[in-house]
Amino acid sequence: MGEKKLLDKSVINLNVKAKDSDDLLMQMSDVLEKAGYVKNSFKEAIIEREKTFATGLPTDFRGIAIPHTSTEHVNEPIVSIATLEKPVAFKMMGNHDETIQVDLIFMLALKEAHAQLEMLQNLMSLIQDQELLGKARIAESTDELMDLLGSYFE
Amino acid sequence: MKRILVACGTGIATSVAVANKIKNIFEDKGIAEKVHFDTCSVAELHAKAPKADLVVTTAHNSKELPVKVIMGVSFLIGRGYEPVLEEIIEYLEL
Repeated sequence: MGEKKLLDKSVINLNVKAKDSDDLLMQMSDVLEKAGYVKNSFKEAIIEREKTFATGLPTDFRGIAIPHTSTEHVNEPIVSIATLEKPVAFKMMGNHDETIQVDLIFMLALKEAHAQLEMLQNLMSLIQDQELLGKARIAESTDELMDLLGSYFE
Repeated sequence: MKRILVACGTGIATSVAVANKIKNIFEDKGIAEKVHFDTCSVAELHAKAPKADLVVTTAHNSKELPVKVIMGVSFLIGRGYEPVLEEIIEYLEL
């Protein structure tokens, strides 16, 4: 259907060093802002949103996080991906009493939900594919990660 | 027709995904026609919840609401949702 892909190599970062989740969200937001995908207000909004509505999700091996915020801070929809050198703690979605060690992050810059429903569904399948998540975690290049996950973010 | 309102922080991401997942399961079970789905943000819950029969949420801090609230994160991660599904079906008498 000629739809634009939601992945861009320039906003995928491997083996990121972050001291905590705030630091990581700041780094990822900066990358998105530099690439023009989000507005200057995105960074603060996504950090604030994570405190109120955490996005850590458990998987079989460590966890993933899917930080996102309101559409008003986004210029163009994109999914930024980061793997981490060392995991950082995120609170669990729906239960802030639980902490999850996260080493794979999908930062969602969304415009309108219904246009991206397919991506959201794909993301849910991806979350459940432990083998693929495992491969993504140890990807050695952004090209490899794009090859692994590209079809989930079309 | 029963009304399920699915809520999340933004009202545009996990609520939409969870509503869709439950809808698909209901279709497989042949009960989708008995249910209307709506999605919203937690901020909108107060206004929208009174018109719903059940609220499913992925958010931690859902306030006191006049309808039953069920946690829906299990649908997102695709495991442990069977008992939640049973609870929904039983509660709404589907």
